[in-house]
Amino acid sequence: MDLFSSLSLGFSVALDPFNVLYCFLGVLLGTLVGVLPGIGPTATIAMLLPITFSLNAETALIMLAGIYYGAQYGGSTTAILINLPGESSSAVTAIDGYQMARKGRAGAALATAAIGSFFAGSVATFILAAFAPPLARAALNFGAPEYFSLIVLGLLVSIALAHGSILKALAMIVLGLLLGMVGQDIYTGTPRFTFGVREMFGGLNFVAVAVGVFGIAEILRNLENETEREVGVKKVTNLFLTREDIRRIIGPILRGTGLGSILGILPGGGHILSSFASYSAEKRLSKHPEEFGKGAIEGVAGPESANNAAAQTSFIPLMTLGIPAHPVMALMIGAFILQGITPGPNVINEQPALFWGIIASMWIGNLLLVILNLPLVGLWVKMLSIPYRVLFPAIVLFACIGTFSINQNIYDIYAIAFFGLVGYLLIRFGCEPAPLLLGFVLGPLLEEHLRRAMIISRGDPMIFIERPISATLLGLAVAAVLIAVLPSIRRKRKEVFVEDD
Amino acid sequence: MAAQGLRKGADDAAPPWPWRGFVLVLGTILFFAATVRGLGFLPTVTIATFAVAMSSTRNSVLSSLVIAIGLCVLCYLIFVVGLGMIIPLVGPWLQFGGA
Amino acid sequence: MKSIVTKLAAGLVAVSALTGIALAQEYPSQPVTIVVPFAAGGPTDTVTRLVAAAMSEDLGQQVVVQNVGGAGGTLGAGQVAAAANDGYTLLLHHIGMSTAPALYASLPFDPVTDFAPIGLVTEVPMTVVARKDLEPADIGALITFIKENGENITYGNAGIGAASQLCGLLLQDALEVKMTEVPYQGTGPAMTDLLGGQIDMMCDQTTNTTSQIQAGEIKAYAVTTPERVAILPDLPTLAESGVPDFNLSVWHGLYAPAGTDPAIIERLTASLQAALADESVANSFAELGTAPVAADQATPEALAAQLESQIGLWGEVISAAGVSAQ
Repeated sequence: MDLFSSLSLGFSVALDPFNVLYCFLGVLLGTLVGVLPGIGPTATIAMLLPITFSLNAETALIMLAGIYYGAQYGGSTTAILINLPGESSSAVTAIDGYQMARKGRAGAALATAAIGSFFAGSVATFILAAFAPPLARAALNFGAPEYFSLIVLGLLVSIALAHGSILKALAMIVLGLLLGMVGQDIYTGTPRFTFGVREMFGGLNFVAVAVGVFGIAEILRNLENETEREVGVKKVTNLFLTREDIRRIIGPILRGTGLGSILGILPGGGHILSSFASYSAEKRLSKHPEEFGKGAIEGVAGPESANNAAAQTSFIPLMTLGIPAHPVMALMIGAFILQGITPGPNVINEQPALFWGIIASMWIGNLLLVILNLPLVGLWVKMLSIPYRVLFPAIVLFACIGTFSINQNIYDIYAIAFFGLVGYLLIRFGCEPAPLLLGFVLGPLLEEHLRRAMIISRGDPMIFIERPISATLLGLAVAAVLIAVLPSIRRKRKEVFVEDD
Repeated sequence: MAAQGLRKGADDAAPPWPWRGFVLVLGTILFFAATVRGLGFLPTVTIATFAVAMSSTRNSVLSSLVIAIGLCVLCYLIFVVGLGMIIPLVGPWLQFGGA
Repeated sequence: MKSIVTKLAAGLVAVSALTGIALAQEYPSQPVTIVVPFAAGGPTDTVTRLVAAAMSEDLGQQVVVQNVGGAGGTLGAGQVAAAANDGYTLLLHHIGMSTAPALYASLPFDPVTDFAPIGLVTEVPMTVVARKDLEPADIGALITFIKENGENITYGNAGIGAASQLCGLLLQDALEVKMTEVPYQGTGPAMTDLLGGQIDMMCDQTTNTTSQIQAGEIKAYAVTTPERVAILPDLPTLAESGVPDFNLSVWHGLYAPAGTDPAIIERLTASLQAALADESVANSFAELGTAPVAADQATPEALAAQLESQIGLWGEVISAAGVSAQ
């Protein structure tokens, strides 16, 4: 079956009014849970799984997929408005998005996120439709050594994430790596830094750490001096984008979409890298790197696009090979099985209506999302007019309940309090929380792949150089370091540093 | 360096440490973790919201109470009714006549 | 303000009084929760949700599945062990219930004394699989190949205490050979690397391997059960292929906290048997490459016997292999 007839089959399924309705319900629910801090698509899909029993397979999966990419849209909303990211991807959006909101540009930031997401989602869905099987095959060439090299490259390039001192950024990454080590060693089962608490065997929960260092720390900062100055974000001036804004976001959206699409295909953690990678790339390419971290619109456009493109292409390994790229995809596998379909290489041939129906529904879903979200921008921004003294207790409680609902693990909530304090101290001492999160997310992956590569090669480090993809990635990493230490660049960095003072 | 360290804290002088925020916000999060299983969803959310709201000098006792009850209803509707979260509404510590 | 406090207190008392009355009425008068000690979407979760849906119909009450993952399933199990023994909180756990005492030195619960067994649910067969370009043509050749190459063979598993690791331990034990074990975080990434030819072999549940085997993406050599499996009829058993008495399946059992009223246990056993007899459950299980256990196995006695014998077996295998999770 060629692409055209496949897609027309897909659209005939996806445009069924009943399916459109459930697609809409999915993206609406996704947007709403994405907006709620703490609670993410994983928890929502897990909770809604039983409801989908009564639906037929296409409808159920169209709806669940809608929740997932809808949540990617919604997740950026709270990151921008109240500095409360719900997932690793929106943590990056929070860096510049929240600064834009503080300057009264929340509307522009939200609109940028929606437009970038829509474009990225549509393009990535096209990639999924046109090239899914060969791309999935290609991604299988990525073994432990390749992932290790990719993460090394990501870490080195991402030092650009911070906008102050390199030393502090490095310290934050290392702290993040250390925090990432908490939990059971997956190779020997030895618990590390768990203080004998069984609830910590699984490691620190990402959402708890992110909510703490961003959201709770921000609340503490706002409570510093509230009698003297207006807290929270400034009054919103204009809702939509200026001509200048549009000119500035085109490049980042295109690059973010490309980066995200490629990284999303890699099942071993590529989607996690996408928004971080896009942010670093934009900062490197920007003529005004000093604006990053202070409300650069490129810092919202790039990562948001990358994140949504990756969300869409991470369906590729699931739908063509039946392997999950991350917990949400694992849940989708569960949903397939509950519908009596075993996900695997045969789904595309045995269930063409389902396969192409889901893909076609993604376009419809993305369209619905942008229609839904652009008007919502006005509504969300209005939410900022709620007095802060009412808003912040709600943020704290939503964060606690949302995080608790993920695993029903009370230590995750203790972690929020601890990282709220840590995050606040970091702000006081001028350290950036973003590199810390990066280290926290990538540290365990780095270790896992390094050790696995060494087990497979029986201790021979040459495996990283002998394999061509790995060698290329490591070469790029070396090049990145060389560029960073070249004198001219260093001078440029110093200037940034001086301006910061 | 010192100026840079406090760059994000304030524009000119170092702001005071938010002790009240530390105690009430962080304390409440710990309280929430310690009691959500025992007291149950409704009492814990209400008490926690009240305490957090009190950490702002702009909230009076009355307005904190109003926020607490309003938010408790909202959280109940969103998480328990809307998302079907499994959690005892009133926990075992409060069930005098029960099991 | 005082009136609000009074009203709130009155409300609390009313709610707690209601729950008090509810508990006294005939079981089940409120939704029953089955805790799965693993993440949603995994094979155990799927099995549980299928059974829970069928049990809801029989009990006339909603049966809700709650995922409490972490620490190899011991977190969720510990939570149920400590839960009220009123029949409203149950546990569906797999073979890990019997390996936990050997793997975890300080376990917060005792699998035998802290639980009241309700019945076995299903026994999922496992399959010995390999990357599709591994040389040996059949299980006989594979055994020779394993014995010759030993540690040069990379063998993937889903982590400490996972069924795939247990199968590997048992197989290496039976063949008296050591392979290089490559642990992953869960079956998904391990299967990814097997598909990509990054590792040589794996032994995993039919729930995870069947679709890949049927698509020809991986090579299957044998099943671990004493009888062949209906969905993969061409695969020989290990026992018939020169590894006598090899018998391994990932058995799942349903438990209540110890001290639950025997009448409630009886009701739950009947409900479990009804669910397993349900045709749609059997069909969904078949899709997963497994089958519900016979009615005489879905009993407290059968589960208790299974648990006890498995704790003994795994205690020996695990301590001989020197594996520990803490």
